[in-house]
Amino acid sequence: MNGISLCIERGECYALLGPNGAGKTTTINLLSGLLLPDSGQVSINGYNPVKDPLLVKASIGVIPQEIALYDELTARQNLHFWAGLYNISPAEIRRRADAALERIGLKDRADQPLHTFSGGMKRRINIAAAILHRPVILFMDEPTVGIDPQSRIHIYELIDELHREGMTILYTTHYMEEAEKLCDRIGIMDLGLLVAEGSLRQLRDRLPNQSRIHLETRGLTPEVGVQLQHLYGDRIAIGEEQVWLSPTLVHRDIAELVRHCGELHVDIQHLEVTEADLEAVFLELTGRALRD
Amino acid sequence: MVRTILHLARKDLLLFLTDKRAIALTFLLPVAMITIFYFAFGGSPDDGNNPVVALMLSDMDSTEASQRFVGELDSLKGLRLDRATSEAGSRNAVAEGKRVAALIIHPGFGDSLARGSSLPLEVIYDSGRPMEFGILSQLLYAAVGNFAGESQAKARAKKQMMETFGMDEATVEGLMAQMNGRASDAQSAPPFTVQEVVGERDNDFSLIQAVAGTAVMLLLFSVAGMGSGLLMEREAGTLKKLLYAPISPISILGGKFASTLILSVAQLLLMFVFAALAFGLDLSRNLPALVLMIVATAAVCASLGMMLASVSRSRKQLDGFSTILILTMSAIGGSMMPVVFMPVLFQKLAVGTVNYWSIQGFYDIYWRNLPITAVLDNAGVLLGLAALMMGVSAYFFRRNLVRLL
Repeated sequence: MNGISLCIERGECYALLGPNGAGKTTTINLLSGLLLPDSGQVSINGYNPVKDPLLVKASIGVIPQEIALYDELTARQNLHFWAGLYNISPAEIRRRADAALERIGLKDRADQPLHTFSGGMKRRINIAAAILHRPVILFMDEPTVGIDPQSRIHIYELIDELHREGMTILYTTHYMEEAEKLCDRIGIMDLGLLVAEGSLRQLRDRLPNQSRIHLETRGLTPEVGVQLQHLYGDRIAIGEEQVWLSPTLVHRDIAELVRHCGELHVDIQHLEVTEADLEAVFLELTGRALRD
Repeated sequence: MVRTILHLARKDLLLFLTDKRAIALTFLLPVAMITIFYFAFGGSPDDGNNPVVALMLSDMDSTEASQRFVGELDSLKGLRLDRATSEAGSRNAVAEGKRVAALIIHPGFGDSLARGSSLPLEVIYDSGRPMEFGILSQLLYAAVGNFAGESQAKARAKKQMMETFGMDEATVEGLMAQMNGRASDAQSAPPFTVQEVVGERDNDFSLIQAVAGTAVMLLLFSVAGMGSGLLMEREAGTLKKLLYAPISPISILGGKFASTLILSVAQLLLMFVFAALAFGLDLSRNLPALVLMIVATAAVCASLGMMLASVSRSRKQLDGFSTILILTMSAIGGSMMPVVFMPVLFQKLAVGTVNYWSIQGFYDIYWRNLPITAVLDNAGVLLGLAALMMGVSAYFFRRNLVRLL
């Protein structure tokens, strides 16, 4: 990893998006104090992982990629064990474990060993085990890899709830849909570098010519078409009562196009913007597809 | 840190209790192995005194004296006599490997005994079985010494008096009789007497060897298995997840050590209690010393398990390391046979093994009947080795953690 600089605000959900080997897990290991940086500084909740590793670790919860639980123990025993590593009283652990099992929809299976659970159910226990101690920051390292759609939805809902409750979340994924759906800001990583960062809008705006504005019109005569082509040049395509524009800046171009149509007495029946997705952004930034 | 270690140990014990195979291997196998080794070392469920070495015997003299001698041999503990009617029968039994040795009492035994001259005894043995013959020869030497010593001393004294003072036989015998046995008491005593100084009480050697030797060897195998739990956690990702928690890596190792120690103590206790219930080992003899030796043995074995797991990079590697090391230590250290029966070089090497110090400690308690002070050095060495091995474990455990990331 080299030259990474990122700041995650309290209560923010931040996605690190990148293909396998981009450095997402290494970033988490650095932030959680498992790896020491050769240079640079890390501050988690005001603590330095090099100087105060235990304070950092007490502030964070980590959901690793692999389902790291004890299959022979029950769901409840697993939760009690993992919570017991933090400074929480046994009575409080019992209370929180019951609440967590309820929250993830597995209370009825609390006393069954994990080897009887599906992969998705184990993933949910994996998440519950990481939040029982109520961390300030939650690191989620590709928590939905290899699970069924139902469990995936459950996990999305859980993350959304945690986010709304104000938990700070760093979420690594190579699924752009997850980053788009769950997170406030997205950092795009490749080969150990943070190649771009921003909100979904800001990232999409980096590729304006991959977005398209599509109008369905009434009153679009050939003469009006010629006038529009004169105004926008190669960026515009005219069809029968239809206009396609590749914008340079989406919002500005929408406003201009709507204004020009009004001036030329063309009624707009339908307007649709097709934006560049993160896959395209990643391709543009790295020259490689996200899932390469 | 102690709370964390106990919390981690509790989890390991819970995991252990869910594993029926591990429970069977930890507690049932040792019981079975103690039973097998006890009988293999010559123990008996009846009285614990069954013969351990068989001797082929041909009495070609067949006099009253030779028969008394045979009777003397027959009464020896640890020796079984199988009689052959001919000299060839005895020789063949040894030559064909059916017996380790044969004793032939040649004609003239009775006369030689009376004259005080060399006894016409011949021992034939199988040189391929030196250890068994070693035990046998000790028994024979003592028996011949005890039997022949008195008779031959009297005969030599009578002969000397007749030659020196020119007395006839009747005069000398009369004189010896008049001495009211005082002379004979003083002079006719055998060259030595054989008296057991240990093992006179209830516990027999076979049982102690079987329990102590087997207990340590099987415990070593058990702890190697328990140590592999550390590698299993590494493979399953739970070890890495533990590192994300606010606990030190040494606590993780400490937790594993604590659970292994608890199970090791339980395993050793079970073996000794079983030996007491099934074979009559007298556990009450020196309970504090037993507890000390059990804890010290469990600690060193648990540390060895941790060390092997910390040094190994995979479970396959651990299996290889532990099998070689444990079998070697058990063979040299006295788990498979008492160290005294081994060549001198091996006896010297034995002191470098965990088994030796542990087994010798248990011998001190149950065979030599020594007080707790006698096992302090054994326990001290074992605890010292445990500390050393835990130091090595901590170093390698920390060093290998980087491979998790």
